[in-house]
Amino acid sequence: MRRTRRRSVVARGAFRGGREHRARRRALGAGVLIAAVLGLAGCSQGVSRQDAADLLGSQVWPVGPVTVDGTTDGGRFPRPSITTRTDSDATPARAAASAVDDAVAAGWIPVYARCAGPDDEVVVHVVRQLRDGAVAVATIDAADPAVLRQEGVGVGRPGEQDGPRTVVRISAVASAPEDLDDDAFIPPVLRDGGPGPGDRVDLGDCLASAAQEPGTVAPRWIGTPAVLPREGGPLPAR
Amino acid sequence: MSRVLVPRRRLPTLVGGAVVLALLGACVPSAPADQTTAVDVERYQELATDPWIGADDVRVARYRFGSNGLFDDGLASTRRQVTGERLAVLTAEIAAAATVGWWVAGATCDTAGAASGGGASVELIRALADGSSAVGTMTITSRGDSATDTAPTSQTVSVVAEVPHHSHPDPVVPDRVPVDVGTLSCLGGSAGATVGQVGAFEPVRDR
Repeated sequence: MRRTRRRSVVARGAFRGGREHRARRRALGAGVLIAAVLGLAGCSQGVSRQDAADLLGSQVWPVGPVTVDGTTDGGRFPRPSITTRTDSDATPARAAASAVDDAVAAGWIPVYARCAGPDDEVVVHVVRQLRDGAVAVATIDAADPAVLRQEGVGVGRPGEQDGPRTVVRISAVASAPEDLDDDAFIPPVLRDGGPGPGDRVDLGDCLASAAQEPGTVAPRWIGTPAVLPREGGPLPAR
Repeated sequence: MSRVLVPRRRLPTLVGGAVVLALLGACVPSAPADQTTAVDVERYQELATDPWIGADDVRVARYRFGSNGLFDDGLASTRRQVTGERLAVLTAEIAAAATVGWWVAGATCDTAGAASGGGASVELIRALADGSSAVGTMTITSRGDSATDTAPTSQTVSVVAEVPHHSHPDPVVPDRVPVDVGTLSCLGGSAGATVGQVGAFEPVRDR
């Protein structure tokens, strides 16, 4: 009898201890759950390098393989990029205008263009937001292929006169995770919510005058350049 | 029991090699924390948003990784193809640059083209918001120089602009006096191979 009572006391103690243990486990579990939810929420706001590469690669324009090349030595970091090259029989201005139309239809916003004469190189910068603060910048460069030969880019054979009138090179670069931590190198037009209505430039004057004014050599531009090199950093000391 | 894959007599060589590699790795100095500051970023953005340059590539001033205390200045560069005679193209580019604050400090003929017909370089200065200066070098070469080209009036204009690293002294800016690049001998003038002052900027200096 006495032995049984002792047992029951021990059992009650064990029961009470088990209840506390379960409560502690529940509290711990809840804490872990909250931490996991917060952690996942934090993750969902970030964009990894692979995410940025996937986002860039999923754009309707430009279409091409995404590469992430570069070093992380000395605080530098690589950004995902796409590079394409197409031939055109149009003048550089008309070929650039066509590429810009494609970009705008895909949601990109032109913010800068540089033009000169009718046969001269045309450069246009277009930008867009991707997701969760990630952004992308693309450069459309339409030029006589002879320029590319001079730069050592393999277009045709040396001395070859037949071939495209214009080569259009497109280079699109997405921001890296480091750019989300510190936007020091993000073009100003892409900060604070992205480009507004006033940042979108009308390329008509630049491209039309480049196409219609033979003999002119005066360089002209519209808007402000937006440059995002394939290699970023180092970020500034804070 | 696993076999020893490396013969024992080679172990000292391998261990020694690993130690040497580790020591060499330790010899590469790490980048200092202040290799790039807000000053360098401001100067970077001034070059990156310069509409006359319209940079293809831009780089912030930073530590030269692997060096013994050397720092690279900030840099923006571009290259473009323009139709026209060399002097007309240069004059138009200088006028366009002036609209955003660039002014010509001097110009010089390329070494190989000191006589009429060679390439030329123009050095331009632009004041930065923080009181320092950017120095740009614009080089013009005729595509007609190449045997493969058929358009002698087509020019390639290259622009390289630099801003000093925050630890470097500001460029020595010459007095602002009118410089007529048309008087260069390589552009058909009679002033010789250099006009004005060039050399305001040395790309890399010791800290």
